[in-house]
Amino acid sequence: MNYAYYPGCSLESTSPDFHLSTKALIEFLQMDIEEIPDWTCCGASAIHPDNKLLSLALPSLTLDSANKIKKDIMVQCPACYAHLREAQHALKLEDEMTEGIHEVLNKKVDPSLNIKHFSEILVHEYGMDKLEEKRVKSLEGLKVASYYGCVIVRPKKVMAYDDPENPQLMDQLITMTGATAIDWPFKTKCCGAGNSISRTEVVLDLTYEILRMAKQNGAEAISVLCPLCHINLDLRQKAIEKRYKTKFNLPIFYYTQLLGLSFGLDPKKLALDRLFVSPFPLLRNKGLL
Amino acid sequence: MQVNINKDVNLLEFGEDLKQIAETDVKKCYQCGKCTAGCPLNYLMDISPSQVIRFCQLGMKEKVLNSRSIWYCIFCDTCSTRCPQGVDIKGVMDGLRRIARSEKIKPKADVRALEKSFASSIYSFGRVYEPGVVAGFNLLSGKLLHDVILFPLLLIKRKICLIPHFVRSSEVRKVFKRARKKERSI
Repeated sequence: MNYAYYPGCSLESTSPDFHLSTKALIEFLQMDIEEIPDWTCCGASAIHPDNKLLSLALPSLTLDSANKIKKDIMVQCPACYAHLREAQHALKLEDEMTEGIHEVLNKKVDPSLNIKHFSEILVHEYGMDKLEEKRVKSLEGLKVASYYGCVIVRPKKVMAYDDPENPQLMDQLITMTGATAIDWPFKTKCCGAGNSISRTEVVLDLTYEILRMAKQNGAEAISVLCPLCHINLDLRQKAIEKRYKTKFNLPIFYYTQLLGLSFGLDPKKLALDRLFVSPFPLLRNKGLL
Repeated sequence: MQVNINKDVNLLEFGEDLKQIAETDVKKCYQCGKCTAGCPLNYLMDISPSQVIRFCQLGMKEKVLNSRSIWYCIFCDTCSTRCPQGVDIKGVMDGLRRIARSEKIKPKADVRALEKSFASSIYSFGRVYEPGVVAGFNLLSGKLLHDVILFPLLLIKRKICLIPHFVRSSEVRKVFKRARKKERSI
């Protein structure tokens, strides 16, 4: 295992809970993963509708940073993950676009490194058996809907993460904690993503459907792996409730926080106090704190 | 829906343009409507995703470029993933936006303000400075008080970084300039 961590801009600012709980897991599991020192923004979804070449050149800069320290890349944010992979894909094609990227960067970038999502590394490389050995507390009795969102599973040929309609990786991790990963149909339904700022009402419409479907299927909490899904479901949950005159009160965890809980890590270290929908009443109720 | 096909439209040319820009062949579509059925934004669109593809097949460039739909697409890729014919509908939407932009057609939704604000944040700092992005969006879009109420909440939860990080920013700026120059010359 020779990975360098690319947190991305969201984890550094609006999603410190994801960042901190990831770091807590890395430390606890004694994984040899350090942050890429000079990473830059992947361009997110703001660049590609305007300038495709730039949208591929920006993430290539980070591939270059990882090459410099001779490490593969570990990512948490699905959007960063997608953009890094798309850039890698474009660099591998060795066509006109590849030449364009090299020209714009003024250097050649070797695309042969691996880019993995942290959940993939946990399941496929660290191994479920070893994770289970580390578990000290079962989250038995907690019903969790794992919500993947769009970007991590689509486009399938670029992401190659899991089944785009019914992914299982996060469900496997949730099950490992002892909690129940419920079966539900909206695992990869879009939350409205980047419309959060520009067209908030669209996001409220879409997330309302997601929360409602989770609750209807018996979920007591939702587990996510995307900082933007988290903002849309957690930070905006009050606004969704107000718009639709309803109450959900569904805590939205990052999957890393649930794993950390089952490893007996300090809730403060997992930044559970930074969630907008407080998870503490539920956790106390279930005897998990 | 009644559609009048303009006799002057050059079916082949538009299809070929799209093939170049979106790297997909709209002619393969047989109108099953699966893309429309799964589209989370279809409820706000004036023409559905499968109709957009049909109009592209018919070479009705003006119709699609002036639609609201191409600006409402959120690139979730549900359509392209489910298409039984392998048509990249999302790619077509993205490509149509770029064509609309190059032909100076005004976007039908507030997408540019956020994109511009976002891009200038990356350009300035190398990483995104989120308070700046929101402030920039509010200024550009004229919605001055948008999401201002969230600011104290984010502060309390320490979910906002008040000071921007400068990382490789001069290199990033050069990349921006070169890419913009090259894109213009294509």
